[in-house]
Amino acid sequence: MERRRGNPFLEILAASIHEDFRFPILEVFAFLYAISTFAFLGLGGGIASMLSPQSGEAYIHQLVSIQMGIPLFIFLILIFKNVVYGFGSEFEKGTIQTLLSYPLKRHMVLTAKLLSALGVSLLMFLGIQFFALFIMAPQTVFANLATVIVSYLASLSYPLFLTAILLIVAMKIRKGGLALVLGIVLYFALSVASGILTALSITTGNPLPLKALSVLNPSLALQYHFNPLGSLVGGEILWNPSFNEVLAYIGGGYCLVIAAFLIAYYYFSRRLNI
Amino acid sequence: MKRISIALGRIGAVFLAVCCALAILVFIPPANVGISTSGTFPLNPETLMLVGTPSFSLNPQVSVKVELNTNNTVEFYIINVLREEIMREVRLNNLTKFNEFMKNNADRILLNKTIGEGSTTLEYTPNGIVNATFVIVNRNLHSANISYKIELLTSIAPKVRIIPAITYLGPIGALLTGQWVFAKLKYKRERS
Repeated sequence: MERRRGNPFLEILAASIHEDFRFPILEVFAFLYAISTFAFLGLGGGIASMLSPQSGEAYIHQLVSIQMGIPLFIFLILIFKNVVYGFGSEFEKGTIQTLLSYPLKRHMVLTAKLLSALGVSLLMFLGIQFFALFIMAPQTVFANLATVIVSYLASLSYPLFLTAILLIVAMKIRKGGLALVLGIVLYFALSVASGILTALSITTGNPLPLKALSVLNPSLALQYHFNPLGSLVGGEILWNPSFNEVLAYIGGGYCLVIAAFLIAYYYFSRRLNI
Repeated sequence: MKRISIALGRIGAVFLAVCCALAILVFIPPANVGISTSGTFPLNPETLMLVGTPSFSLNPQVSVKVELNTNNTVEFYIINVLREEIMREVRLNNLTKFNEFMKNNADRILLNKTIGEGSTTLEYTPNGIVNATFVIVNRNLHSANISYKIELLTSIAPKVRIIPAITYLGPIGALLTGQWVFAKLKYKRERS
Protein backbone atom coordinates (compact mmCIF):
# COMPACT_ATOMS: atom_id res chain seq x y z
CA MET A 1 0.00 0.00 0.00
CA GLU A 2 1.38 3.41 -0.97
CA ARG A 3 2.11 5.61 2.00
CA ARG A 4 0.65 9.11 1.75
CA ARG A 5 3.21 11.87 1.08
CA GLY A 6 3.90 14.17 3.99
CA ASN A 7 3.20 11.58 6.65
CA PRO A 8 6.84 10.95 7.65
CA PHE A 9 7.25 14.69 8.15
CA LEU A 10 4.17 14.80 10.38
CA GLU A 11 5.38 11.70 12.24
CA ILE A 12 8.70 13.37 13.06
CA LEU A 13 6.98 16.66 13.92
CA ALA A 14 4.52 14.92 16.25
CA ALA A 15 7.28 12.88 17.90
CA SER A 16 9.42 16.00 18.36
CA ILE A 17 6.56 18.00 19.86
CA HIS A 18 5.77 15.09 22.16
CA GLU A 19 9.42 14.94 23.25
CA ASP A 20 10.00 18.70 23.56
CA PHE A 21 6.75 19.57 25.29
CA ARG A 22 5.86 16.68 27.55
CA PHE A 23 2.90 17.51 29.80
CA PRO A 24 3.04 19.95 31.64
CA ILE A 25 6.13 21.74 30.17
CA LEU A 26 4.08 23.68 27.60
CA GLU A 27 1.51 24.71 30.22
CA VAL A 28 4.16 25.76 32.77
CA PHE A 29 5.89 27.93 30.19
CA ALA A 30 2.54 29.41 29.09
CA PHE A 31 1.85 30.29 32.73
CA LEU A 32 5.30 31.86 33.13
CA TYR A 33 4.95 33.82 29.87
CA ALA A 34 1.53 35.15 30.87
CA ILE A 35 2.41 36.11 34.44
CA SER A 36 5.71 37.78 33.53
CA THR A 37 4.23 39.58 30.52
CA PHE A 38 1.34 41.10 32.48
CA ALA A 39 3.37 41.80 35.62
CA PHE A 40 6.05 43.76 33.76
CA LEU A 41 3.50 45.47 31.53
CA GLY A 42 1.62 46.71 34.57
CA LEU A 43 4.53 47.51 36.84
CA GLY A 44 6.82 49.22 34.36
CA GLY A 45 4.64 50.52 31.57
CA GLY A 46 2.14 52.43 33.62
CA ILE A 47 4.30 54.50 35.90
CA ALA A 48 7.04 55.25 33.36
CA SER A 49 4.72 56.48 30.64
CA MET A 50 2.64 58.51 33.09
CA LEU A 51 5.67 60.37 34.41
CA SER A 52 6.87 61.25 30.91
CA PRO A 53 3.92 61.51 28.51
CA GLN A 54 5.09 60.60 25.02
CA SER A 55 3.79 60.01 21.51
CA GLY A 56 1.80 56.87 20.72
CA GLU A 57 4.74 55.29 18.85
CA ALA A 58 7.25 55.89 21.65
CA TYR A 59 4.73 54.68 24.23
CA ILE A 60 3.95 51.48 22.37
CA HIS A 61 7.66 50.78 21.84
CA GLN A 62 8.26 51.29 25.56
CA LEU A 63 5.30 49.03 26.33
CA VAL A 64 6.57 46.27 24.03
CA SER A 65 10.14 46.56 25.38
CA ILE A 66 9.03 46.37 29.00
CA GLN A 67 6.61 43.49 28.52
CA MET A 68 9.13 41.54 26.45
CA GLY A 69 12.01 41.69 28.98
CA ILE A 70 11.51 38.63 31.17
CA PRO A 71 9.33 36.62 28.72
CA LEU A 72 12.14 36.88 26.13
CA PHE A 73 14.53 35.40 28.68
CA ILE A 74 12.01 32.60 29.40
CA PHE A 75 11.73 32.08 25.63
CA LEU A 76 15.53 31.72 25.47
CA ILE A 77 15.45 29.14 28.28
CA LEU A 78 12.86 27.13 26.33
CA ILE A 79 14.95 27.41 23.16
CA PHE A 80 18.08 26.32 25.02
CA LYS A 81 16.19 23.35 26.44
CA ASN A 82 14.66 22.27 23.13
CA VAL A 83 17.19 23.22 20.49
CA VAL A 84 20.53 23.11 22.29
CA TYR A 85 20.02 20.44 24.97
CA GLY A 86 17.30 18.48 23.15
CA PHE A 87 19.02 18.38 19.79
CA GLY A 88 22.45 17.71 21.32
CA SER A 89 21.00 14.84 23.36
CA GLU A 90 19.48 13.29 20.22
CA PHE A 91 23.01 12.96 18.85
CA GLU A 92 24.41 11.78 22.18
CA LYS A 93 21.77 9.06 22.65
CA GLY A 94 21.73 8.16 18.98
CA THR A 95 17.98 8.74 18.58
CA ILE A 96 18.73 11.01 15.62
CA GLN A 97 19.42 7.84 13.63
CA THR A 98 15.81 6.77 14.10
CA LEU A 99 14.65 10.09 12.66
CA LEU A 100 17.06 9.81 9.74
CA SER A 101 15.71 6.35 8.92
CA TYR A 102 12.39 7.91 7.83
CA PRO A 103 11.94 8.22 4.04
CA LEU A 104 12.54 11.95 4.21
CA LYS A 105 15.34 14.26 3.12
CA ARG A 106 17.61 15.45 5.89
CA HIS A 107 16.66 19.09 5.54
CA MET A 108 13.01 18.12 6.09
CA VAL A 109 13.97 16.25 9.26
CA LEU A 110 15.72 19.37 10.53
CA THR A 111 12.71 21.51 9.53
CA ALA A 112 10.39 19.24 11.52
CA LYS A 113 12.71 19.41 14.55
CA LEU A 114 12.97 23.20 14.33
CA LEU A 115 9.22 23.61 13.82
CA SER A 116 8.71 21.77 17.07
CA ALA A 117 11.56 23.27 19.11
CA LEU A 118 11.47 26.82 17.80
CA GLY A 119 8.13 27.22 16.01
CA VAL A 120 5.87 26.14 18.88
CA SER A 121 7.85 28.20 21.41
CA LEU A 122 7.77 31.27 19.15
CA LEU A 123 4.05 30.85 18.47
CA MET A 124 3.26 30.65 22.17
CA PHE A 125 5.56 33.58 23.03
CA LEU A 126 4.10 35.86 20.33
CA GLY A 127 0.55 34.68 20.97
CA ILE A 128 0.68 35.63 24.65
CA GLN A 129 2.53 38.88 23.96
CA PHE A 130 -0.02 40.08 21.38
CA PHE A 131 -2.90 38.88 23.56
CA ALA A 132 -1.53 40.99 26.42
CA LEU A 133 -1.06 44.03 24.21
CA PHE A 134 -4.56 43.80 22.74
CA ILE A 135 -6.06 43.38 26.20
CA MET A 136 -4.15 46.22 27.83
CA ALA A 137 -3.94 48.85 25.10
CA PRO A 138 -6.15 47.90 22.12
CA GLN A 139 -6.57 51.40 20.68
CA THR A 140 -2.91 52.31 20.90
CA VAL A 141 -1.84 48.95 19.46
CA PHE A 142 -4.21 49.22 16.49
CA ALA A 143 -3.07 52.78 15.84
CA ASN A 144 0.63 51.81 15.96
CA LEU A 145 0.62 48.26 14.63
CA ALA A 146 3.67 48.93 12.42
CA THR A 147 5.72 50.02 15.46
CA VAL A 148 4.60 46.91 17.37
CA ILE A 149 5.66 44.60 14.52
CA VAL A 150 8.99 46.41 14.01
CA SER A 151 9.69 46.24 17.77
CA TYR A 152 9.12 42.48 17.81
CA LEU A 153 11.15 41.91 14.64
CA ALA A 154 14.03 43.93 16.11
CA SER A 155 13.94 42.12 19.46
CA LEU A 156 13.67 38.60 18.04
CA SER A 157 16.56 38.89 15.61
CA TYR A 158 19.25 38.39 18.27
CA PRO A 159 17.66 35.33 20.00
CA LEU A 160 17.07 33.70 16.60
CA PHE A 161 20.69 34.33 15.58
CA LEU A 162 21.85 32.85 18.88
CA THR A 163 19.58 29.82 18.28
CA ALA A 164 21.08 29.21 14.83
CA ILE A 165 24.65 29.47 16.18
CA LEU A 166 23.89 27.12 19.06
CA LEU A 167 22.20 24.67 16.69
CA ILE A 168 25.46 24.46 14.74
CA VAL A 169 27.40 24.08 18.02
CA ALA A 170 25.04 21.27 19.18
CA MET A 171 25.49 19.42 15.86
CA LYS A 172 29.25 19.86 15.98
CA ILE A 173 29.94 18.72 19.54
CA ARG A 174 27.00 16.24 19.69
CA LYS A 175 26.60 16.46 23.45
CA GLY A 176 23.44 17.96 24.99
CA GLY A 177 24.87 19.03 28.35
CA LEU A 178 28.04 20.54 26.93
CA ALA A 179 26.10 22.36 24.21
CA LEU A 180 23.80 23.81 26.86
CA VAL A 181 26.74 25.05 28.95
CA LEU A 182 28.37 26.57 25.87
CA GLY A 183 25.06 28.23 24.96
CA ILE A 184 24.73 29.82 28.38
CA VAL A 185 28.37 30.97 28.30
CA LEU A 186 27.91 32.44 24.80
CA TYR A 187 24.71 34.24 25.84
CA PHE A 188 26.34 35.88 28.86
CA ALA A 189 29.56 36.63 26.97
CA LEU A 190 27.58 38.45 24.27
CA SER A 191 25.60 40.33 26.93
CA VAL A 192 28.82 41.45 28.65
CA ALA A 193 30.37 42.43 25.30
CA SER A 194 27.21 44.41 24.50
CA GLY A 195 27.47 46.29 27.82
CA ILE A 196 31.17 47.06 27.30
CA LEU A 197 30.62 48.32 23.75
CA THR A 198 27.72 50.55 24.87
CA ALA A 199 29.85 52.02 27.68
CA LEU A 200 32.73 52.50 25.23
CA SER A 201 30.48 54.41 22.83
CA ILE A 202 29.16 56.69 25.55
CA THR A 203 32.55 57.48 27.09
CA THR A 204 34.45 57.97 23.82
CA GLY A 205 31.60 59.73 22.02
CA ASN A 206 31.98 57.38 19.05
CA PRO A 207 28.77 55.53 18.07
CA LEU A 208 30.58 53.06 15.78
CA PRO A 209 30.69 50.13 18.30
CA LEU A 210 26.95 50.59 18.88
CA LYS A 211 26.26 50.62 15.16
CA ALA A 212 28.20 47.38 14.76
CA LEU A 213 26.36 45.86 17.72
CA SER A 214 23.01 46.95 16.27
CA VAL A 215 23.52 44.68 13.25
CA LEU A 216 23.57 41.75 15.68
CA ASN A 217 20.90 43.20 17.95
CA PRO A 218 18.69 45.68 15.99
CA SER A 219 16.55 46.43 19.05
CA LEU A 220 19.39 48.74 20.18
CA ALA A 221 18.97 50.88 17.05
CA LEU A 222 15.21 51.02 17.62
CA GLN A 223 15.73 51.97 21.26
CA TYR A 224 18.03 54.85 20.28
CA HIS A 225 15.59 55.91 17.57
CA PHE A 226 12.97 56.64 20.22
CA ASN A 227 15.40 57.68 23.01
CA PRO A 228 18.48 59.27 21.43
CA LEU A 229 21.77 58.30 23.04
CA GLY A 230 23.52 61.21 24.72
CA SER A 231 27.29 61.45 25.10
CA LEU A 232 29.03 62.01 28.43
CA VAL A 233 31.46 64.26 26.54
CA GLY A 234 29.70 67.57 25.94
CA GLY A 235 26.24 66.07 26.46
CA GLU A 236 25.35 66.22 22.75
CA ILE A 237 23.26 63.57 21.01
CA LEU A 238 25.57 60.73 20.07
CA TRP A 239 23.30 58.54 18.02
CA ASN A 240 19.71 58.93 16.91
CA PRO A 241 19.09 56.64 13.93
CA SER A 242 16.19 57.38 11.61
CA PHE A 243 13.37 54.85 11.17
CA ASN A 244 14.75 53.82 7.76
CA GLU A 245 18.15 53.18 9.34
CA VAL A 246 16.45 51.02 11.97
CA LEU A 247 14.76 49.02 9.19
CA ALA A 248 18.16 48.59 7.52
CA TYR A 249 19.64 47.26 10.79
CA ILE A 250 16.70 44.85 11.16
CA GLY A 251 17.22 43.70 7.57
CA GLY A 252 20.93 43.21 8.29
CA GLY A 253 20.16 41.29 11.47
CA TYR A 254 17.79 38.90 9.67
CA CYS A 255 20.33 38.40 6.87
CA LEU A 256 22.71 37.12 9.57
CA VAL A 257 19.95 34.90 11.00
CA ILE A 258 19.15 33.44 7.56
CA ALA A 259 22.86 32.91 6.83
CA ALA A 260 23.39 31.11 10.15
CA PHE A 261 20.36 28.84 9.58
CA LEU A 262 21.50 28.10 6.00
CA ILE A 263 24.90 27.03 7.35
CA ALA A 264 23.11 24.82 9.92
CA TYR A 265 20.95 23.27 7.18
CA TYR A 266 23.97 22.75 4.90
CA TYR A 267 25.96 21.12 7.72
CA PHE A 268 23.07 18.84 8.71
CA SER A 269 22.27 17.84 5.11
CA ARG A 270 25.73 17.45 3.62
CA ARG A 271 28.48 17.40 6.20
CA LEU A 272 27.07 15.51 9.15
CA ASN A 273 28.31 11.94 9.35
CA ILE A 274 26.04 9.69 11.37
CA MET B 1 -5.85 8.43 20.33
CA LYS B 2 -6.39 10.99 17.60
CA ARG B 3 -3.62 13.55 17.25
CA ILE B 4 -6.10 16.36 16.69
CA SER B 5 -7.71 15.57 20.05
CA ILE B 6 -4.30 15.71 21.79
CA ALA B 7 -3.35 18.95 20.02
CA LEU B 8 -6.65 20.64 20.93
CA GLY B 9 -6.35 19.34 24.48
CA ARG B 10 -2.88 20.80 24.91
CA ILE B 11 -4.06 24.14 23.46
CA GLY B 12 -6.91 24.06 25.97
CA ALA B 13 -4.48 23.33 28.80
CA VAL B 14 -2.37 26.33 27.67
CA PHE B 15 -5.51 28.51 27.76
CA LEU B 16 -6.22 27.29 31.30
CA ALA B 17 -2.61 28.02 32.36
CA VAL B 18 -2.93 31.58 30.98
CA CYS B 19 -6.28 31.99 32.79
CA CYS B 20 -4.65 30.78 36.01
CA ALA B 21 -1.88 33.41 35.64
CA LEU B 22 -4.43 36.15 34.92
CA ALA B 23 -6.58 35.09 37.89
CA ILE B 24 -3.56 35.45 40.20
CA LEU B 25 -2.83 38.92 38.80
CA VAL B 26 -6.43 40.07 39.26
CA PHE B 27 -6.09 39.56 43.01
CA ILE B 28 -3.21 42.03 43.25
CA PRO B 29 -4.91 45.32 44.22
CA PRO B 30 -4.18 48.56 42.31
CA ALA B 31 -1.66 50.88 43.94
CA ASN B 32 -2.04 54.61 44.42
CA VAL B 33 0.80 56.31 42.54
CA GLY B 34 0.68 59.33 44.84
CA ILE B 35 -0.91 61.73 42.37
CA SER B 36 -4.29 63.03 43.51
CA THR B 37 -6.37 66.17 43.57
CA SER B 38 -9.31 67.06 45.78
CA GLY B 39 -11.56 69.98 46.64
CA THR B 40 -14.94 71.22 47.78
CA PHE B 41 -17.00 73.91 46.02
CA PRO B 42 -20.57 75.08 45.46
CA LEU B 43 -21.76 74.69 41.88
CA ASN B 44 -24.29 77.28 40.71
CA PRO B 45 -27.46 76.22 38.86
CA GLU B 46 -27.07 75.54 35.13
CA THR B 47 -23.33 75.82 35.18
CA LEU B 48 -20.27 73.58 35.11
CA MET B 49 -16.82 73.28 36.66
CA LEU B 50 -13.57 71.77 35.43
CA VAL B 51 -12.00 69.87 38.30
CA GLY B 52 -8.48 68.59 38.81
CA THR B 53 -5.48 70.50 37.48
CA PRO B 54 -3.94 69.95 35.01
CA SER B 55 -5.36 67.29 32.66
CA PHE B 56 -4.16 63.81 33.58
CA SER B 57 -2.34 61.71 31.02
CA LEU B 58 -3.84 58.22 31.35
CA ASN B 59 -2.97 54.97 29.66
CA PRO B 60 -4.28 51.41 30.02
CA GLN B 61 -2.08 50.75 33.05
CA VAL B 62 -3.05 53.96 34.79
CA SER B 63 -6.68 54.16 35.79
CA VAL B 64 -8.45 56.93 37.62
CA LYS B 65 -10.58 56.65 40.74
CA VAL B 66 -13.06 59.46 41.41
CA GLU B 67 -14.90 59.93 44.70
CA LEU B 68 -17.78 62.41 44.51
CA ASN B 69 -20.05 63.69 47.25
CA THR B 70 -22.95 65.92 46.27
CA ASN B 71 -26.25 67.14 47.74
CA ASN B 72 -27.93 67.41 44.32
CA THR B 73 -27.98 65.41 41.07
CA VAL B 74 -25.06 66.37 38.82
CA GLU B 75 -23.42 65.00 35.68
CA PHE B 76 -19.81 63.88 35.67
CA TYR B 77 -17.76 63.77 32.46
CA ILE B 78 -14.29 62.51 31.61
CA ILE B 79 -13.31 64.01 28.26
CA ASN B 80 -10.26 63.24 26.13
CA VAL B 81 -9.21 66.84 25.68
CA LEU B 82 -6.62 69.18 27.14
CA ARG B 83 -7.96 71.47 29.83
CA GLU B 84 -6.79 74.59 27.95
CA GLU B 85 -8.77 73.58 24.86
CA ILE B 86 -12.05 73.13 26.68
CA MET B 87 -11.49 76.36 28.63
CA ARG B 88 -10.98 78.21 25.34
CA GLU B 89 -14.16 76.74 23.84
CA VAL B 90 -16.40 76.96 26.90
CA ARG B 91 -15.80 80.46 28.25
CA LEU B 92 -17.17 81.44 31.66
CA ASN B 93 -18.40 77.90 32.18
CA ASN B 94 -21.32 78.56 29.84
CA LEU B 95 -23.58 75.48 29.73
CA THR B 96 -24.91 76.22 26.22
CA LYS B 97 -21.39 76.43 24.83
CA PHE B 98 -20.43 73.26 26.72
CA ASN B 99 -23.41 71.40 25.21
CA GLU B 100 -22.36 72.63 21.77
CA PHE B 101 -18.77 71.52 22.41
CA MET B 102 -19.92 68.08 23.54
CA LYS B 103 -22.17 67.73 20.50
CA ASN B 104 -19.24 68.46 18.20
CA ASN B 105 -16.84 66.23 20.13
CA ALA B 106 -19.05 63.31 21.09
CA ASP B 107 -16.29 60.84 20.21
CA ARG B 108 -14.02 62.37 22.84
CA ILE B 109 -16.37 61.65 25.76
CA LEU B 110 -14.72 58.85 27.71
CA LEU B 111 -17.22 58.64 30.56
CA ASN B 112 -20.56 60.29 31.26
CA LYS B 113 -22.38 59.46 34.50
CA THR B 114 -25.30 61.03 36.30
CA ILE B 115 -24.44 61.23 39.99
CA GLY B 116 -27.25 61.26 42.52
CA GLU B 117 -27.23 62.72 46.02
CA GLY B 118 -24.71 61.20 48.39
CA SER B 119 -21.35 59.62 47.90
CA THR B 120 -20.31 57.91 44.66
CA THR B 121 -17.08 56.24 43.59
CA LEU B 122 -16.18 55.75 39.93
CA GLU B 123 -13.24 54.04 38.26
CA TYR B 124 -12.16 54.44 34.68
CA THR B 125 -9.42 52.68 32.69
CA PRO B 126 -8.77 53.94 29.14
CA ASN B 127 -8.11 51.77 26.07
CA GLY B 128 -5.19 53.90 24.90
CA ILE B 129 -3.32 57.08 25.78
CA VAL B 130 -5.73 59.90 26.68
CA ASN B 131 -5.57 63.37 28.20
CA ALA B 132 -8.37 63.20 30.72
CA THR B 133 -10.17 66.39 31.76
CA PHE B 134 -12.87 66.10 34.41
CA VAL B 135 -16.05 68.17 34.23
CA ILE B 136 -18.96 68.37 36.67
CA VAL B 137 -22.19 69.82 35.28
CA ASN B 138 -25.16 71.03 37.32
CA ARG B 139 -28.23 71.18 35.05
CA ASN B 140 -30.62 71.81 37.97
CA LEU B 141 -32.22 75.04 39.03
CA HIS B 142 -30.66 74.70 42.50
CA SER B 143 -27.00 74.93 43.38
CA ALA B 144 -25.07 71.85 44.50
CA ASN B 145 -22.33 71.49 47.09
CA ILE B 146 -19.72 69.14 45.73
CA SER B 147 -16.62 67.59 47.21
CA TYR B 148 -14.38 65.45 45.04
CA LYS B 149 -11.20 63.44 45.17
CA ILE B 150 -9.45 62.19 42.03
CA GLU B 151 -6.65 59.63 42.40
CA LEU B 152 -4.45 57.93 39.83
CA LEU B 153 -4.06 54.19 40.32
CA THR B 154 -1.69 51.83 38.64
CA SER B 155 -2.62 48.19 38.42
CA ILE B 156 -0.70 45.18 37.16
CA ALA B 157 -3.77 43.93 35.37
CA PRO B 158 -6.90 46.09 35.22
CA LYS B 159 -9.92 44.00 36.21
CA VAL B 160 -12.13 45.52 33.52
CA ARG B 161 -9.88 44.02 30.86
CA ILE B 162 -8.71 40.81 32.52
CA ILE B 163 -12.01 39.42 33.76
CA PRO B 164 -13.67 39.37 30.28
CA ALA B 165 -10.54 37.64 28.93
CA ILE B 166 -10.77 34.97 31.64
CA THR B 167 -14.52 34.65 30.98
CA TYR B 168 -13.88 33.78 27.32
CA LEU B 169 -10.61 31.83 27.60
CA GLY B 170 -11.58 29.74 30.64
CA PRO B 171 -14.60 27.88 29.20
CA ILE B 172 -12.85 27.36 25.82
CA GLY B 173 -9.82 25.97 27.64
CA ALA B 174 -11.95 23.75 29.87
CA LEU B 175 -13.89 22.43 26.87
CA LEU B 176 -10.77 21.62 24.85
CA THR B 177 -8.97 20.06 27.82
CA GLY B 178 -12.10 18.17 28.85
CA GLN B 179 -12.43 16.37 25.51
CA TRP B 180 -8.74 15.43 25.70
CA VAL B 181 -9.04 14.03 29.22
CA PHE B 182 -12.24 12.20 28.24
CA ALA B 183 -10.59 10.73 25.13
CA LYS B 184 -7.54 9.69 27.17
CA LEU B 185 -9.70 7.94 29.78
CA LYS B 186 -11.66 6.19 27.05
CA TYR B 187 -8.41 5.12 25.36
CA LYS B 188 -7.03 3.72 28.63
CA ARG B 189 -10.26 1.82 29.30
CA GLU B 190 -10.21 0.30 25.83
CA ARG B 191 -6.60 -0.82 26.25
CA SER B 192 -7.10 -2.45 29.65
